Amino acid sequence: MLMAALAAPLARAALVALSARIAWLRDSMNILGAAAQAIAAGGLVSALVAGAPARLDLAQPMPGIGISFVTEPVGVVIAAALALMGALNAVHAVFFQRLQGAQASARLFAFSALAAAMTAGVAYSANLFTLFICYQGLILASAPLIAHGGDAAARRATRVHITTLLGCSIGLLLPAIVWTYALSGDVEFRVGGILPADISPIIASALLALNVFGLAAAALPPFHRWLALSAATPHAAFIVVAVLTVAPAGVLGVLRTTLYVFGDAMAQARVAAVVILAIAGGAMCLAALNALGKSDLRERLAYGVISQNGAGLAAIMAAAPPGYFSAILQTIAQSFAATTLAMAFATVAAATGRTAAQDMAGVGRAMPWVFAAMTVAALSFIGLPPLVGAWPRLWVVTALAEENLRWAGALIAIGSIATFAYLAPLVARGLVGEAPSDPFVRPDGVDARLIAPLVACALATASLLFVVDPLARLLAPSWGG
Amino acid sequence: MIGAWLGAIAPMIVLAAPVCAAAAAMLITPFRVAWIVSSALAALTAAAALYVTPGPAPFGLAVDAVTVIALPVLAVAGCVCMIAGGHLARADGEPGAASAALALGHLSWFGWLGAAFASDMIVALAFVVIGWMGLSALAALGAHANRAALTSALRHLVWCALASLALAIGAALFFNATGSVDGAALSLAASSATARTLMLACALLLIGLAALAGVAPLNGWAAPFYGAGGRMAGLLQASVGAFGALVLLGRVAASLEAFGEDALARAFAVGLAGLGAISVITGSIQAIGARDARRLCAHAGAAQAGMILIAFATGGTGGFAAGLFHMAAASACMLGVLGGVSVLDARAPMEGLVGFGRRAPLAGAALAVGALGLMAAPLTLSFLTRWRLIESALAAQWWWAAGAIIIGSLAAVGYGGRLLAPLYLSRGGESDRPAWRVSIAPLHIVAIAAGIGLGLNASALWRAAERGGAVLGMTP
Repeated sequence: MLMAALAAPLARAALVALSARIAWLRDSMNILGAAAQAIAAGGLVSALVAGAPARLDLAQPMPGIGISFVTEPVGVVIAAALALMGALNAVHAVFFQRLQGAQASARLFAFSALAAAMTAGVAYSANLFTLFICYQGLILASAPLIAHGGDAAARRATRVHITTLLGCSIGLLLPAIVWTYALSGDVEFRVGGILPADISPIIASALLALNVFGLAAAALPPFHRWLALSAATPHAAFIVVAVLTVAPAGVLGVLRTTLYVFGDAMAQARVAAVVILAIAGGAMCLAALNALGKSDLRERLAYGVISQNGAGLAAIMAAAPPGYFSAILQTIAQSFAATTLAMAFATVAAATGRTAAQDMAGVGRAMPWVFAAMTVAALSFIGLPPLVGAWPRLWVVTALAEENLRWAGALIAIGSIATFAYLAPLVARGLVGEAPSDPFVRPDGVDARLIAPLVACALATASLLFVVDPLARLLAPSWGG
Repeated sequence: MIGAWLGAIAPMIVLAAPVCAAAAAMLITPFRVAWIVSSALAALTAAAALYVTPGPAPFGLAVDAVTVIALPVLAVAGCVCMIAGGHLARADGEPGAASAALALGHLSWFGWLGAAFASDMIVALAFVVIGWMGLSALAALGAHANRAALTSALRHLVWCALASLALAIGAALFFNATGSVDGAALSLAASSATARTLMLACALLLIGLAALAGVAPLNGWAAPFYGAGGRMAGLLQASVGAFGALVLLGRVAASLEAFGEDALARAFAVGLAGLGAISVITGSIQAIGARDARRLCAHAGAAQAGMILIAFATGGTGGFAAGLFHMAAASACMLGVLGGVSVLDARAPMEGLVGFGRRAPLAGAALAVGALGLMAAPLTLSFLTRWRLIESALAAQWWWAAGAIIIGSLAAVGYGGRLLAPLYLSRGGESDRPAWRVSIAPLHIVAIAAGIGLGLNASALWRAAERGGAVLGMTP
């Protein structure tokens, strides 16, 4: 099953590339491949619940250092969430591309699949070495997606994407991994961490900083511009990069290294953790405020993702079980809500040709299903109870209060208010505003097959609330609970 | 029993076959037959190199663990260069001089192979001179098609002659101080000899070898030589000559360990690492600005050599093993990039790479693997070797040296990316004719196999490097 979860997206990429000239076959392969990955990822969750973890050793390039994958709760759960969203997005992307008459769909789908494969690799990696390989693969696989638009803005975004992410991974993450290996003689992920618990606080702090900033896909300032610029890419590529692969993989990488490399040694890295916490909390507020000033919906969502990633990273840096749980829940809730929002924005753009926030007034009257889905996602994104997005905020504030970091809790609260400010009026205006008088690009509306995955995403976002408890039980062993 | 017999005669074959191949190239006509015979002998040399085991070698030479790892790298890289050389010699040189070019290539290869066997400095010097003189002459043969080749050959000749002079004076000083030209005798001599004389000797030896290896800023000859000195000469220098010199440099650096805790020795090691760091940074900056793929390789080679110097300077088994390990990877990268662009015409401007991956799939793949290797992308051999280099610098607590290696790796993303980006991401190009030469295919295949195949499993290579590192690191 683990092999299937890793191979399905690779096979999808190959089959899409091979059937590039036959549209119906290419699109079918894209949807079937994504569905196969989601089914395999779901199967891995079931197997883990049943107490049957899996391991796959592919190669051993050097003695003691292997390319291996393993199923452990954190990676499996997040990979399954991303795969499910990826499958729904694959359906949406196919019909969106058809509706737009977009060129080079095969390239878009193939690189989306490759990026999904590398993200799965990050989630299932059994050690730092494998994580690094998959992470670098993800950076390279996602670059053509950002370049997909082909204009000057896309080229600039690609340049920033590659230089920032590759530069940080080689300049910061790789030394951190080698240093960890030199200190512990191991790179394998283990519950409780592999670094010695009595490691010097200076070294622990330096290593934590190298790890977190090295994983620049998490978009922690000052390495966040790549995500903001990725809004220049077309809708279908933007969803894959900002919501389904690169950005969540960054947070996932930080989460897994913190839990399984640092573990108990996080107590020694307190100084760096507090500094990163402050940066992440500040980023959450500032990015949300920045989003408020953005008129383009993709740009607004990109800053929203930076803000939400900040919340996730802040929760991780609390270095306590409620914080870790909050970060995982935040990542899942964010991926569900952000996918729904991004797909809704894309659908509105396809139907009306409108991409600016100020042009949304009354559009919900013409597109009720799309705006209903958008409303559910926005409420979860903001963190309003009872939707699932509320609970990570609650957990992280609890964790921060327990650690005597109330100021950080205040930052999270301010960030949530700012998120409300840039999303709630947008949705409200869309629903209650006066119906627009100027004609839409497609007066007959859009295909139901474009709306169906969007509504399914919204339903999944709403129903996530019911899996929080079983999720907590499944994840507890990850922090020795 | 057969294995032991093969092990016993393998050194003899490794040394004799290239000389026979050179003779065959000169004596046999037509050229195509000479090329086939010399290629067969080159393949025999490479195969024999894999069977060389530690022990005595002919002509008073010796085989140790360093030879065992260096020899297969030099032999396999040289072999594919020689097979490709038949086509390249004909294309680049005077029509009637192809046989001479092939013979010179084999002789140069013989020189660098012999240097890997050298047990003392005088023998090493003799082999090294054969190696670089062969290359100078080979580059000069390209003057028929390109006058710049003559200038580049002259420049190479002058620089290498000065380097050899430094080597000769260094060896003489060494003999004067220790009464021996064998580096291993240093431990016995350390107490009685004047440390400063030995230091001067070692400094001259290192400077000479660094110049031959193309370490910046002692590589004034390198960019013109790679750019205009002919494809075969560039290939041989990059994948064989540079690393033959670096193996010897490793041996000299190892002999410095004899001084133990001596402050001068430590200062010398820091100086060596400093030279390495300068080479990494200078080479990287120049490579980023290069407008020609072959010149880019000259600068990138300096950056790679600088990293090896840093590893040697950190010393110990780990440092020397990391240096030897990286040598194999760097050689594979150079084979890939220069081998890839060798299907282009004599000059290889960066614009010529646009759509190259589509026009020449195999050469494009070799070039891509080489460029990815320079960038130390995961799943390439270079990624593993870069890992070991950083590890050795961290183990020695030389943070700045680790920083230099990381800066070099970051810069490599820039210049490696410049090679890689036009290959597949751009369509078209100046010439749409497919570029395919059967004789160069083995070179491409070896470059791809070494870059990616060993990237998936380099355990055996690493163990060999560790054994070599143990020999160097423990040199008393």
